[in-house]
Amino acid sequence: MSDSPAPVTSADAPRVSLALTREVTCIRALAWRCDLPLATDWVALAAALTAGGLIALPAVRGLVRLGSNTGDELLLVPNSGRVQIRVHYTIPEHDRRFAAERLFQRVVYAFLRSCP
Amino acid sequence: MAIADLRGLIAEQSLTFLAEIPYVYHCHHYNLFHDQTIDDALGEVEGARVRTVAAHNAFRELLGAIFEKAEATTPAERISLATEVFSWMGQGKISLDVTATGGRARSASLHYGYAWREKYGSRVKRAEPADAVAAGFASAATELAFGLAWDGISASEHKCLATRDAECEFKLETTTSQTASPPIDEATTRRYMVPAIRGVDEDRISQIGAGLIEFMRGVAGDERGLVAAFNVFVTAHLPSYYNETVYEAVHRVERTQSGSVPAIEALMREAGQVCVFNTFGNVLLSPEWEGLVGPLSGVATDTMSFCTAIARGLGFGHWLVGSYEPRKRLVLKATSNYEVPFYRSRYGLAKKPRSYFVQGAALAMMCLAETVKWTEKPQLTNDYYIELFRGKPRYRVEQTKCMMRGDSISEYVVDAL
Repeated sequence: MSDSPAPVTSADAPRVSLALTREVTCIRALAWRCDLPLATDWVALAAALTAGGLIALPAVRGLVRLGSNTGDELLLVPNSGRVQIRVHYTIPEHDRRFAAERLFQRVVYAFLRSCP
Repeated sequence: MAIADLRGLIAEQSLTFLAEIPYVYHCHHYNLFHDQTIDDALGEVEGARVRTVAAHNAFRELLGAIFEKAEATTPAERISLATEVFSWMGQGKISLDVTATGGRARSASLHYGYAWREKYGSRVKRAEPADAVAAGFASAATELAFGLAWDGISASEHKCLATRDAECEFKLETTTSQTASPPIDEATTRRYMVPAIRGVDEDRISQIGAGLIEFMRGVAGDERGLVAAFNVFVTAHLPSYYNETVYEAVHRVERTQSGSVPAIEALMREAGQVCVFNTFGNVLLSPEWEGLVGPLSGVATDTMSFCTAIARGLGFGHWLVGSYEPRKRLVLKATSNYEVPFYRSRYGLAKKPRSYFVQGAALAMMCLAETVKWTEKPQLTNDYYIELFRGKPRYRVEQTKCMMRGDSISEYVVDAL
């Protein structure tokens, strides 16, 4: 895992990375991201994550939003492969990274389980 | 009656209302900067007083209209509904322990105090409380709950999250009543707008703006009365609060220190820049945007259209791109904005263009469209803000038409230097 954003090759070649990086954010260390292949089976991934205890939340079109019982959220953007992890703002700043890592682990395991 | 059912919309003007009182969305960066600007103009003590009075007046308008529509008549009903509305707006969860002669209010999660501590708490020591908005709300809610006259109750914050207290606390006391001002409501707003016209890329802007308005309709305070969205804390807020503080401060400086007027106007414009950089920027970089609109292209004309759509989505009015020539000139227009109705109905015709917020926003939109490398996922940090806006000037803005002055439309011209 790295604190520095992963490199971007070009707008036409979306990032594919299973590294957790700090997301563009204004509230310190609150948002984190990883990028999955566009070919990911997003329905299967969401199903694996909800089977693992996350709850489906209302979202705008084009977005899958899942929540944990501690108020953290996962946002999946199937049309770009972006996955954003939003740690709840009440988590102390020094613990936010660890909260993000725990959710990231769940994404990785669910992703591997949902791969054909 | 659910609070959400009290919402109204003039769709063609992108203006939003709650119980027919205008509201808009602003993030904590803008809110904190706005308040700091008022204090910079007037000094901390007078700035806090003006902000508290403005919040009181704005919430008297809103809560009065809500109580009437919801048929809330008893003090208990009104206090309960008022705090529910405050929380729904993302202003925080506050408890009021009050009677007709005052009392106290407390909260562990107020938008201003909480966000200030989050943004600056580890680096800056603050001595003054940050929650003038909550103080004004508390006094307005108490007055209305007990059928008291306008300004019958004053509220002051003596403990604050921003000053490292565990909770915010307010003392409410009786005070001398004053004459009420007529509310700036939907009917007033309609008097000071002109029919919406189409601008460049209108169909796309219109579609995205409507999508954002729909998205924002689902936004409401959480169990702490806060809204964390787009990586910022968001509030549904009352334009009357922003307008009264800005114009009272500017008018006072004009009366007492005319030499400082250009500096104060520049600060008010900068608040618009801060809004566009932080709120618009974070919306553009959000997964919600990516889902709703798609990944950012980084093309300047796209970004300009997107920013215009975001302004509409936040309820700022019918902004449109009159013309845009990248690296040369932007002509932004508005057939409505949230500054005009307040100014015209409170002060009459302005002698000069005074739409400071949109002036700054227009300049920042040009900057965001042309300077920020969106495809490289920039970090919207304070250092980056300083680099963009406080280095060598890249653009100059002039408001060439102003509906506050009686012009037929508001127009803002940004030229590259």
